[in-house]
Amino acid sequence: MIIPLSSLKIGMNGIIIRLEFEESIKERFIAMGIIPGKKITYVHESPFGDPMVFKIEDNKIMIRKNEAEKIFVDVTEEILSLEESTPGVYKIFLIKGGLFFRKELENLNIVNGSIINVINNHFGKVSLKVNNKTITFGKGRSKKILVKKLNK
Amino acid sequence: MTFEIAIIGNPNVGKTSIFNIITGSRQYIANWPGVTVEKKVGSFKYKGHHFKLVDLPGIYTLSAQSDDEKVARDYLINESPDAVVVVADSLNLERSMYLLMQILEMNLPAVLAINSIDEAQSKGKIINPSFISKTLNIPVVLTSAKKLIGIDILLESIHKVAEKKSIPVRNFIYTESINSFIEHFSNKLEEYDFLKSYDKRWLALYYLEFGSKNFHYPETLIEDINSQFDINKLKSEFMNWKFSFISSIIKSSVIEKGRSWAMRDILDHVMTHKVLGLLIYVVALYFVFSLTFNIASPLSDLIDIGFNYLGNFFNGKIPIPWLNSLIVDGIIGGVGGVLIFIPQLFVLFFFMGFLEESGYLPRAAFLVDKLVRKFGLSGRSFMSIILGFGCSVPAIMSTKTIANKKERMALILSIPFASCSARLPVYIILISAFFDKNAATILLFVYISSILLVLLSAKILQIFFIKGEEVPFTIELPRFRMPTFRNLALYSWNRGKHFLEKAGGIILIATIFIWLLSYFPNNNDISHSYAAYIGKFFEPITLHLGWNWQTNISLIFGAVAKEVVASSYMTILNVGQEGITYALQDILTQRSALALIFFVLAYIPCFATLSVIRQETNSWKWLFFELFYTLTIAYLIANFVYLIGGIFL
Amino acid sequence: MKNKKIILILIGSLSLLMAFLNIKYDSFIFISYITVSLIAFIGLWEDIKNIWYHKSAHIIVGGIVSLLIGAYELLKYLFGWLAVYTSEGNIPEFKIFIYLFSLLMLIILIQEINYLKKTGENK
Repeated sequence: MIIPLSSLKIGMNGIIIRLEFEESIKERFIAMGIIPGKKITYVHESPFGDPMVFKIEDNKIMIRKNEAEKIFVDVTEEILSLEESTPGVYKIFLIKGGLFFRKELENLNIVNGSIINVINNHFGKVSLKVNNKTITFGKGRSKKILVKKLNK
Repeated sequence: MTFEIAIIGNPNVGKTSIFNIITGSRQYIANWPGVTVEKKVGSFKYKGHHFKLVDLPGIYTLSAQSDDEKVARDYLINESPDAVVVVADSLNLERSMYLLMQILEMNLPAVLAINSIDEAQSKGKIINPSFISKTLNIPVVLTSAKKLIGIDILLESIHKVAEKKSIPVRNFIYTESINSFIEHFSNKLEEYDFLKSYDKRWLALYYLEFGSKNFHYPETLIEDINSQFDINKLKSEFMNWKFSFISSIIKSSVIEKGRSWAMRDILDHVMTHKVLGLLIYVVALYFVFSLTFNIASPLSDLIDIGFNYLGNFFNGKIPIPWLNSLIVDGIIGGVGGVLIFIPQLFVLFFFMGFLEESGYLPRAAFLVDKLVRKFGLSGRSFMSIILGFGCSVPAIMSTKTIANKKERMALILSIPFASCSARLPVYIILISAFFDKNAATILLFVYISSILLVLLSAKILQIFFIKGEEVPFTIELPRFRMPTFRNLALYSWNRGKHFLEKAGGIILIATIFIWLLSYFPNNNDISHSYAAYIGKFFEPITLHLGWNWQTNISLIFGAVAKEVVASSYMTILNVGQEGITYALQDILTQRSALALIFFVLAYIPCFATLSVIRQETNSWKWLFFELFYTLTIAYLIANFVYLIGGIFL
Repeated sequence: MKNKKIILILIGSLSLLMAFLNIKYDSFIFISYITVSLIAFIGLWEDIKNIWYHKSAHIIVGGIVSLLIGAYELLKYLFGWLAVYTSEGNIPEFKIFIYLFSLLMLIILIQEINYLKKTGENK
């Protein structure tokens, strides 16, 4: 699936496909190492969500969001927050948030890698099934859970 | 005979360290003609030959879009150096090859130095230089500026290449269609005499890579070429050829990739953290400021003692009263007053160099970029603004590394609005005389207004006065390096020396001029001097603010250095430290004092700052613009504050 | 180093203590100690990305900031003596605990970097 670089979630990676800039700017990015065919990983988030730092091989490059929107990458797996999910089967990719939140989820048998089944998503209020138990998360909490869609 | 050698490379590959090692202290900095890019030139001797080493700006490409790139490209075309040292980063070899290829396309005698080889080794990365050397037919040296590896071999290679004169043939095997393009293009070039001196194959490839924008290709040639070839298709073919060529070289010469984690990731994990990152930034800035104060103030006092002694020594020794006063009050007093800032300057340069060379600066820029973007600035500018609260001179000089020239110009002209430490004494005597109860509140207001002024001014200047292309703000986060003391000392020494050479003259002339105004025509009677007449001359436009001629004179003298406003008041009102409060209360009201505080915040930067503006913008025009601009803004603000003050006071 | 949790708790509480001991002495030192303690406690707390070096990173950066404090204090002390002669300043205080803290952190820092070099090989 091809998405703009700006839609990557932290820790996600993709293969650079194309740069949609005018020629002169494009050449500059290429010279900095953003070359189609290379693997690129989103490694650091700034305090305000913008700009973003990406890693290509041994290289860390900071790119502002509006430029990252014009660089397209191919991602093998799509990672989204639970808040954006539609009904279907997902695997937990990452749980953001503090120790207590993760402990709480652990008690519900939700850890990194566990499989969940999203039943419905009502404007971010998500109901899901895990181990035959139905749980509902509010918008704030479902934002903190990143999931990977499983194709089944 | 002297050989001229150029050194070029991507930013953060340790180019400057290699330059410093080779040239030592035999180096100086200047500006490239016509632009504000720093030019560093050094010299060295090797095997009885003299070498001149020119440090070109750190760039990624020769596209000649930014000033940095244009300077580098034009230098390479016009000066045809005897050898070009391309410095590459061993941990980032592939990217550096892109620039190297562009140098080779220009058909220049190149030497490749693969730097930081010690870091590669400690990560287990192994590079085989001989493959690159054979494929490209250039000398390749593995170096480490930090551990002093390979420097002798590098010098030997430079020597060999420079002496050889003829450039070895490099036959890159392009695709057929590119070859026929080069063929056709070169044949066509025969028709244009003024392009004779250029390398024809390079002109063809340069056109293919960058189009016609950055080079004066004749229009008839372009028309012909565009009608014969599908340029866009050829271009992407050429780029693809280059990428695959580069990556095939890299594949064959990097024997072992090494492990993938780095200390950098570990440090970045905390230093770019949402909360901790910002907190560490605050600590870093606080560190620089507190230490600058702690270290510089005893040294400044030392200089002060020295100049006082010198003044006392000469005083009365010269029989002609005006000459005596000129030397004691004008030259020794005036220059001493400015030189007091030198320790602060050097210490700030030193720490600025530390932040720059350690690689922390880009992280700091990353953290705060969003905050200042609305004002047309980038995160990188933020640091310079904050430095401006210490002293405008190093702050303006620190804008050197800002790639966007438009942003940089706006910043240079706006930084003087940042309330530097010399303004504080003036605020303090005025506040303690008139606003004893609300001292902290007023001071807070002054500093908040100061930040707002800098930001708004940067925005306004970029909208109305400064033209330039929008360049995307994209920077690299380099690996962290522990700067060597030697490099830092060279960094601050070079900048300090450069400043003194350029600014010293202006400051001296200006202080003598101010002395003339205060001494004549009535032999040291300030109240009846030219300065007083000027002060009275301006009374019509300042009297409604409650400022009489005494205030006006103090403000004029304040152009030497802002803190002089305070001491001038004492001289003119003929009172000491104790009596100044009452004396001021006699000539100013609360309202007019408040207006004065804000006027002092914004009006004419001191002579040192003005001369550094002249030096960094490379034009007198901007210096006079700055004079007029700050004076207008300051006057408007003073009137506004006076008006608002009328409501509350 | 093993027992990173204990080390982080130690750094966090020790630096917090140092912060309050020096609250009146110097505001830079106060803020830096608070920062070190936050670095340590947050290292204990959130580990969202499940990075293997998370705790080590917090120990190391905490150590670096502590070294800054030590360097600051030393320079302040030395130039304080200069100020005694040039500016009639007060005789500077010799704060032994600040140096000891920085020394301790230096030892922890070196230990941790050695640990990383060993275990990092396999990552």
